[in-house]
Amino acid sequence: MSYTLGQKQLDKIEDILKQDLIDNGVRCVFLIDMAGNIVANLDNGEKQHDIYSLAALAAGNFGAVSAMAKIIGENEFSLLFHKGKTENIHFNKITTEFLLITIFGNDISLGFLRLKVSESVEQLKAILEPLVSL
Amino acid sequence: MVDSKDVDNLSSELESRLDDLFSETNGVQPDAEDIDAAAYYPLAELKNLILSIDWEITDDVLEKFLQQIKDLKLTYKHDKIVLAFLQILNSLGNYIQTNRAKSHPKTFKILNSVFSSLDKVVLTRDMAETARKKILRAEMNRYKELRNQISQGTSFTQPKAEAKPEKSEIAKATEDQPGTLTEPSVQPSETEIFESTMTDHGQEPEVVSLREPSVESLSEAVEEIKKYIHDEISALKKEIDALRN
Amino acid sequence: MAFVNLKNKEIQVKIVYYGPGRGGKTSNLEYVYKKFAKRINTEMVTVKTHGDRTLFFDFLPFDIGIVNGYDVKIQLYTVPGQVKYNATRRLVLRGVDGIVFVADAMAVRREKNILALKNLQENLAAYKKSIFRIPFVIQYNKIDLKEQGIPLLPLQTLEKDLNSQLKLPSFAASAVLGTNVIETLKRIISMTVASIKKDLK
Repeated sequence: MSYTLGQKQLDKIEDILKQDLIDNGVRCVFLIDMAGNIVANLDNGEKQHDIYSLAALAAGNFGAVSAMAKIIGENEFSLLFHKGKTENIHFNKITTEFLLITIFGNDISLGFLRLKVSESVEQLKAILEPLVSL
Repeated sequence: MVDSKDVDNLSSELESRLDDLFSETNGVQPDAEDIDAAAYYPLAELKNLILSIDWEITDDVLEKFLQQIKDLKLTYKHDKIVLAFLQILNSLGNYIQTNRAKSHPKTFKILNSVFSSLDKVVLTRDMAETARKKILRAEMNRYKELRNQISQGTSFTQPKAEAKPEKSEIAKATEDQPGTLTEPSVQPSETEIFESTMTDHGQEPEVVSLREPSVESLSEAVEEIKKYIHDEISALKKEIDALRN
Repeated sequence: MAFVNLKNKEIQVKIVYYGPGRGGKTSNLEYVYKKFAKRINTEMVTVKTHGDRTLFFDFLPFDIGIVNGYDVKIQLYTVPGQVKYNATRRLVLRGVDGIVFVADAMAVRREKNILALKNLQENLAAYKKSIFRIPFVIQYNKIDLKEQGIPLLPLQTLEKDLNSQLKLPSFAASAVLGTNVIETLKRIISMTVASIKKDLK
């Protein structure tokens, strides 16, 4: 079982991530699937992270938190966000198979980031939803 | 726009509550206790709403925020400095409500900063008038800077060496039309309020309803969109009929 | 689920090492990491307990280079083997493309091997995957213990217990010494990539 994304789709994805997020001050954004594969990844050129490990851990983290939600009777949590002293991470599900992870500093408010992420997610859904029905 | 009926109801309720509070000599009634708490820290609710906005921006929170500012404007109608702060917050709130995700990212930092300064001014007893004005001036400058950035369509990130063509195009466009804001609802009339407050002519500051101009332009835009949709649907109908025949 | 990136000409594949607790899954990855340290630029990620037991997973990504014009990137994971970590095992199995079952050849672990295999089958079924249809290789680990006089299960027994129906490629190995570790890995990679290619057609 596998899924494929073509040049056009990936270009579109990168455009959305760049315009909505990177250009608005987000330091790093990556789109992964629930297996931990990296579909797209962009950053603002300042810092380079080990994105492969981040992706694996992010998928695991999200999976673990989702499982916890089910145990306590929730379908899912509406916010998964970790606050650091200078860096923060926000997770957002896109369809059942993908995750959008944003890393941002304290110069962006969480509320604003959530608005921007919602917008991006809507656009990304259009590209990713057809894949999920595989 | 301020609904005068609501204002009347609110002021009369407030009046009666204050009367109750000050007529009590012993014991504290629950109502009076609430007023006590509010009087002790009148910005409590506003602070909650600002924190909520930081966390999540919803229609509900923004409505409550703007309403709270309206209420506080009444409470502080005799304090020009506080009023000026509230007017900045009001303007920012309206801007966020209108623009939502398209708001300039710095808006929220400034919102917090203005509130923080307002908080200081309100809570510090016996703060000299000059000190208060100084704090207000600092916030006003930050606010103006944000407004300029918005009207120039400056993006959040500093343009790098390889500046993209789109940005210079926007800059050029705004250069040709000075004073044109790419985002509405931030109006020059605020400087009038600010200046009249700062020069302290003993006049009541002009409480200009900053929403009016943007509401007008918004309704114009809505009309345009309606007309466009109507035209498009008529055109489509014609096409469908043509195909049928 | 493997991801094929036509833009970067890349294939990303997930292989999970599964098996009973203390069977040698982590040791397999540690050996690969040591052996290919120069080639693997990233650190191996391990999420483990103070007692050095895998708590969440071990993770080791590496690039095997260009194959048929595509850059093949392999992500190796291990699962925690202890029975109480079943929910975690299920999580890590999400999107798996190939499996290495690391069985413990020690005689005392016979029952545990069988239970672990059954557990794998159940967890795969939760993702509507069949143990019969996924690229799969079995490794009988700890053959080095024979030298130390520790009773091991004969290969025939292991095969009968674990491989009689599946009929998978199997390797007698020693993760600690490195015997057949790379061979196991090579085999599962080629099986997995072959299966993806079949999908693409």
